[in-house]
Amino acid sequence: MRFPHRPAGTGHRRTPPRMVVVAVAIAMLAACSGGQAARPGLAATPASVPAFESVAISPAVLTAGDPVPLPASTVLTVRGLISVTNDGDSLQLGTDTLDQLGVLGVGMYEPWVKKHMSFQGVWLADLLRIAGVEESATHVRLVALDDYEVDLSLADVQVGGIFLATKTESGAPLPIEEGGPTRIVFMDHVKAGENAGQWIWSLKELELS
Amino acid sequence: MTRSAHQESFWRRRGAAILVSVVVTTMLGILGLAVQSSVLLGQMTADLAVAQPRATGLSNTQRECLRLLQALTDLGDGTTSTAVAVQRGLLGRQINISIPTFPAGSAEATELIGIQTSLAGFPWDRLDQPTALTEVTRRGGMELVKQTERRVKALYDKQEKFYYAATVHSIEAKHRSETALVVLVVLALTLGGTWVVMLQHRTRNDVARAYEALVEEVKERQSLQDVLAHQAAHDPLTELANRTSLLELLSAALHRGQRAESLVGVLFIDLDHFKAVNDTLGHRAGDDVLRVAAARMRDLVRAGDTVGRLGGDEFVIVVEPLNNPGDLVELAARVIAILSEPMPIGDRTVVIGASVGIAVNPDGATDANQLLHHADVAAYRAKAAGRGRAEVFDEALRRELDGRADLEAAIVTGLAGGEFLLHYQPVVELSSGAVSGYEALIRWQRPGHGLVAPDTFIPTAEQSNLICEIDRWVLAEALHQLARWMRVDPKITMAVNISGRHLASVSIVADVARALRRADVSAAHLILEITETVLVNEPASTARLRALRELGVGISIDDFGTGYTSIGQLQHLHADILKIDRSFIGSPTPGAHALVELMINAAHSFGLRVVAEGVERADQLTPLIEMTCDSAQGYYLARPQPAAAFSPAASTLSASLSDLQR
Repeated sequence: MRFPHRPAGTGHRRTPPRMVVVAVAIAMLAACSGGQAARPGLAATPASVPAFESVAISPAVLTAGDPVPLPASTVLTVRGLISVTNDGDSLQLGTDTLDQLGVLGVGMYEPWVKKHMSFQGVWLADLLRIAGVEESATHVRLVALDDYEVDLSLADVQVGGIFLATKTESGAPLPIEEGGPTRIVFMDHVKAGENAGQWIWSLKELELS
Repeated sequence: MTRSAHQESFWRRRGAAILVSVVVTTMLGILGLAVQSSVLLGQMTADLAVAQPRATGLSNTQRECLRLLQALTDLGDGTTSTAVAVQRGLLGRQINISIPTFPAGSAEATELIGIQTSLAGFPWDRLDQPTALTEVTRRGGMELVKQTERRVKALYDKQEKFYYAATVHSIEAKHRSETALVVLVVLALTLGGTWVVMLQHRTRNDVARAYEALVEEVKERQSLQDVLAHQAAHDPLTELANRTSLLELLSAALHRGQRAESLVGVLFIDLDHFKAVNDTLGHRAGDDVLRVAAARMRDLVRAGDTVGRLGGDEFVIVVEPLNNPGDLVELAARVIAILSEPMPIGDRTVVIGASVGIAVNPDGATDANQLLHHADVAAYRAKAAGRGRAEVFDEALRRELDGRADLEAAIVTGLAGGEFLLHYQPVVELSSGAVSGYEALIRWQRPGHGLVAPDTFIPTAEQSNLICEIDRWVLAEALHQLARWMRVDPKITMAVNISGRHLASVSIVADVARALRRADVSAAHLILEITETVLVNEPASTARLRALRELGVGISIDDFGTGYTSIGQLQHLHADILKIDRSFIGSPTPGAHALVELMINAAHSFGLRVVAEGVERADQLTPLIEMTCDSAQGYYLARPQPAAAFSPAASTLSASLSDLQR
């Protein structure tokens, strides 16, 4: 039985009602005192794609345009405005096929467990390229196992720094307790990852639109 | 600073103080409120920042528990064990997220780790394969999850409570600080008020003090001015008037003298042997001598006279008003005497002297310098004449003064030498035409001058006790004559003039008594004539008059009408006869006639007899008779003549008088 639909973007949590009232009150107080620290200005992100540190674990086997074989067990489904499919209009991906995209190792500060963590996986941008995302696509909607949803703009994805983690640091499969089987993590200082609610874990589906 | 300027500044300061106090208090209040709000805000934001992820984590964990429970419940009935495993994983994830929201090692973190451990320890894999244990495992799992949910809920409630308490605490703290702020504001206002009041006091005190200072300054300046004025006018060494001041004083005195037609006298005093003192004993001793001399002279003079120092060893005394130039001579002699007395200077005794020049202002003259110069010249003459003496400047004055001394000497000689004689003037009783008595009038047969009238020597005699001698002689001579005449007419009286000086002297009563005894005449026949002015001016004489009347002597007020006696005073004067002055008898003015009548009536009403003096014409006599005047005397009736002219018989006298009357 599924819980009532939650509006997208509220994260893997439901904000308690009391908290809402208090938060509103504080917002008003903050407005009255007029001393709300200005958010750090929309720092002009450099036009060039920043180089993110990554460690190559295994090379890519599949390249853009190659067909993707159907996996033994699906871990992630991609559908929508893509050209590469292997199951009707969707692209089914498993742990092996994901590995074929090339495995990199990255590290960043994880805001939920509040510590630095390392993962292995693939850049989301690379995954989407392999999936043959069409020119007209602008957004990707990510859905989790508990039906939590996150929207990312493809422009942000192209900027880079958005990583699809598929393995733990040591190369072991990512347990659900740690956000597996796959999860989106953001490199440090990436604007799209500033909101912790974007760090969607336990992915099941990607939809390009 | 004027009063209004001070008041202005006072108001400005007070206004400024009030303004400052209010502004400070307001700013303090606003600042305090702002600080309180931000502190509370900060507090609550911080609290929330901590509390929110905790509450969210726990709440999500709780939700995942329920979802897992649901999954377990539906296991085998639509829900696969994989789904259960997935749900378990999601629950685990939430627990993983919740643990770091609490401080490491805290009760909550420990509890959550405990929950995690207990969940991990459960044999969930038995659910993967349907076995006989699956159901048991399932139920066990459900029980565990329920328990987990309860634990998580407890944590959640505790968290909520804690957060609520923290918020309440923060709000209470804010209230407390608000109260503190109110207290602070009140304190600030009180301080401000106190400051304003103190300022007011201080400013008021400033004003008062400024005023006092001003008054003090004015007083000081005033007294300074006084001191300066004193210094400007006085010689510093002797404290006497200095030259400038003396000249001013002398000039003023001369002007007054001119207006009042009175005399001003100046003594110019030059110290003798002063230079010797300076040379032998030094200037300090000289200064002391000057000071002693000044003090002595100051003590000598009358209150209204001025002693001044011209400079060096020259001093001046201004005598004003001067009644008699002879006083100056006396004063000069006293000055010389006092200055000649030894002076104790240091441990020595110094003897100096003085040469004095005397000058009197000529009639109406007001030139002070000239007068001073005259006195100076006279002093120089005194020095030249041998020192220690006084010299008079004015030739005429000198002659007069010399003359007076000569005259006095001549009088004394004349009295001794019998040069004086008496003439007698009859007093006629108007009702009968008979001679009631005679008035004795003194004459002087002075060798080289012929017969001298009394007005040339009596005034001089009256300046000294010489007049008493004359009076005594007159008394004796007149009473002797009276005694002779009384053998012929026993009712005859003799009137003798008595001077004021003699009346005032202690010996008057004795003198009169003695004269009466020697002449062997009863007092009732003697009449003493005393001028009205003397009677009025010498109140001490009333006692003598009473004594004389007690002797039995008659008192006659001579020259009545020329003094300032009021008619009413007549009753108090111990007199028997009133002699109306000749000026009224001879006056053509119509008022004189009425005045004479008035005097006669007044005198009669007080029991006094009236004698009219200076009857020179018949037409003067007639109205007197009409006015019931008692007696008359005058050239018309009989001229004064020696006694021999009236003998041998009184009847002859009365006969001749009757002839005259017709």
